[in-house]
Amino acid sequence: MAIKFYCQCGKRLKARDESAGRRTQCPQCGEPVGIPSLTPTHRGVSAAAASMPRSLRNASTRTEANSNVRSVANQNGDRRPVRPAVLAHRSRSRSQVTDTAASTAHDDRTEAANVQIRERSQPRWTRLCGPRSRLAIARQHSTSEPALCVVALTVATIVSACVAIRLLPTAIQEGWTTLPHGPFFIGSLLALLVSAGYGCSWAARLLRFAVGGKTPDFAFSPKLERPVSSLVGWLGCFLAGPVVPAVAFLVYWVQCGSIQPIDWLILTELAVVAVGYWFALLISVTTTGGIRSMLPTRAIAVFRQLGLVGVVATLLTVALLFSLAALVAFSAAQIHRDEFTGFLLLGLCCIGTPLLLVLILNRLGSEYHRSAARQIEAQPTAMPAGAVPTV
Amino acid sequence: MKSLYSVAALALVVPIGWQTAAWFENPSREIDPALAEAGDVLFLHEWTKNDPLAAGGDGLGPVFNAKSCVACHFQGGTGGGGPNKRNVVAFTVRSIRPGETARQGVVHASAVKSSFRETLKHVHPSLPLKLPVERVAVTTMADCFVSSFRFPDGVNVSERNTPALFGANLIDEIPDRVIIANERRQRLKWGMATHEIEHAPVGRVHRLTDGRVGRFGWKGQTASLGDFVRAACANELGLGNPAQSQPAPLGHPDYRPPGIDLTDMQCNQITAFIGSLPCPVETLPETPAQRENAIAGKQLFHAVGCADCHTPQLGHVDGIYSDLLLHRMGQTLVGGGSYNDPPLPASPDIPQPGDKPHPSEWQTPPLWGVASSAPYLHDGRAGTLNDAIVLHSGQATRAATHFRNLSGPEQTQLISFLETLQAPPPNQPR
Repeated sequence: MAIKFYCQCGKRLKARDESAGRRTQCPQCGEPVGIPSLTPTHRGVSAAAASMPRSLRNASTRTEANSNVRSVANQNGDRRPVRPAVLAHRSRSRSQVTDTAASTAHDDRTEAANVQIRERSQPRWTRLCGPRSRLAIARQHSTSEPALCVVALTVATIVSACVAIRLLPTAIQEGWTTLPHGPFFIGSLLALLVSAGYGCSWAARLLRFAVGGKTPDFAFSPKLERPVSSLVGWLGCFLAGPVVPAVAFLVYWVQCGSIQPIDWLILTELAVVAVGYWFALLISVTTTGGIRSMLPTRAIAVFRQLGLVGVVATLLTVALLFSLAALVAFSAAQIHRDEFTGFLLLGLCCIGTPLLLVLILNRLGSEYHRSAARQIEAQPTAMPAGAVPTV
Repeated sequence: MKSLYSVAALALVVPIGWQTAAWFENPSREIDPALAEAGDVLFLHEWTKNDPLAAGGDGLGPVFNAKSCVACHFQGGTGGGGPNKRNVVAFTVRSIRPGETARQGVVHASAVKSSFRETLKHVHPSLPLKLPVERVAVTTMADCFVSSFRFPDGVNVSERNTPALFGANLIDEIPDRVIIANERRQRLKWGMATHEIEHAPVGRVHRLTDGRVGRFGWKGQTASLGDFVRAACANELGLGNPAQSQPAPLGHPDYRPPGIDLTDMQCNQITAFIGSLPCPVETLPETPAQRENAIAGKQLFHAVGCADCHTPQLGHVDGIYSDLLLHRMGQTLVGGGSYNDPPLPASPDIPQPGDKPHPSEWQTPPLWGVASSAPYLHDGRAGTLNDAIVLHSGQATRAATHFRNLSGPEQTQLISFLETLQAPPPNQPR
């Protein structure tokens, strides 16, 4: 059976049992990460607890800080916070651990490695949460010039979108193969996909930070981003359900004729369902991962947890998307009339609206984190008596 | 919480169900045979001055283009198109000089009194008395001619060929929603391009000032068959009716008729008769070789790009070969003016008031019955189907170019397909 655990960047990882306690490198962020051991490495903490989703770990950390819960000291003097959820889990795992003393001493090498990882990651995390400006954080975090990357990505997106839109009528009429500017058109489409992939990756990382309760890190580095997997993930979330109301929206808009107030109502409702569903699935996948997290029941659970904030954020996003759609439609029309003006207008869309969308999504993620923390805080009353830790 | 979700789901489902249920309603309207029979009499009736059928008015005129409906609408049977010699002369004058008033209308071919006779001099002093200034025969088919003349600045005179009325009731039944959906589909298909461009066939709906969608007339300036009949009766025959007053002679703008010539009932009767005209049919040739040619031509019709605007189906109407949208057809096919439009702005580049068509915009004419309705294009300048395709420009330039690039046999195949679109045979049920 594989060991499931999380990297600091939020990436969900798996390792074989025989790798327990060793160190590996995260394929997403490249940072070293310790594989949890199958048995507790110190008294009072189960191995499984260490592999809990990061969002819940952070949520419980914050709860703990507020409620002044005691910490557990291990043999090496490392202070690790005790979480109610962990305590609950410990009550179950305690019966499974037959020889605590043996397990405590069994692998000093592993523990040392874990300590080393924590020490390496701690200063960076401190920097991220510190009072420095976000630009400074971005500069420190990224492996290349972030501002330059963002500018290059934006320009690439706008140019490729303009070329694709401008050549679309000719491409349709002449056919893809016989099109004189075929390579330009296909190249622009590919560039658009790559740009969208990087955008998704960047937004996904921000969402992971938000769900984990961390200060968002706006740094952008092409070396760290994973455009293909992010694009596939976001598209997967869209195709897993939100595509239905989205297609219904498009079909209704085409077929409804002159748009009356009731048509506006229907279009808004469909847009709200599509956007809200998509956001909920994105948060669900970020927190738990896997195919099952794309089930409608998970989306409903996320939305129930978000509550009013989720509704307001979705409505805000829909209003933003309507504005974006109008502006994109106008820009596309303008590109056919006057390329330069259309280019500028589309640039406005590319720069402004996605950024606002990411901020809204980020806000939703943070709200999800807070509500998860509140939920965990409410749980200790149901904790069995035997689960109270002994220091 | 569950009840809240139920309410939210109902709020989503009920309006959608309510609205979409209307989409599946059958828009067909039954025509009263008695009305249509009475309308048949009026359609064939040759009107005279102080006609007894025009009880309250002055009968025919004072200015008119023909004495009966069938005098123009006769090719391929009663209700068909008309030849070039029955063209209507429409004019537009823009106020580009101080003191000039923008106006537009029709220069009528005949008048009940010689003093009422209209000439192009009434439109602008520098114009000749009448069109055509120079008439050049382009074909022997259906008396087709074209005229060419350089008009003074701000003045445009162009002819309008008589359209066929077959299947008009089906066009009338098409919901506005279907035509608007066509417009949106075209925009989506061509990268959200607007109707102002000429490198892609993106049409637009002609929305009238009252919000309805125009579907009759070369500029799509009329929303319903009833309105079209009333406007034609007034402008072509000089038969004023409650919805449309008859035009005064251009030289006597103060002329006032004693009353209306046609009652609403009479207009409804003519409308019912036109509505009862059968729909044109696609008639495949009998010989296998010709049949194969026509079938191959139909495929070429789609491949060349003709079907982008001449869409075979529109809503529930199959075989119409039109999207009923306005398309920009380029500077070679410019012509302004239609019945009772408001004054025009000084320049054609200035947006027209409301949603008025640009001089180069024309509604895609339905191609059903096209083989029986020569000549072609708005002023009948194309005598043959081949000429008509080649003369397409503006948004149809690419399709016309593709047609020119076809081999001779392929061009023949495409034309042979168009020749299968015949006027309905006599006594064909609607």
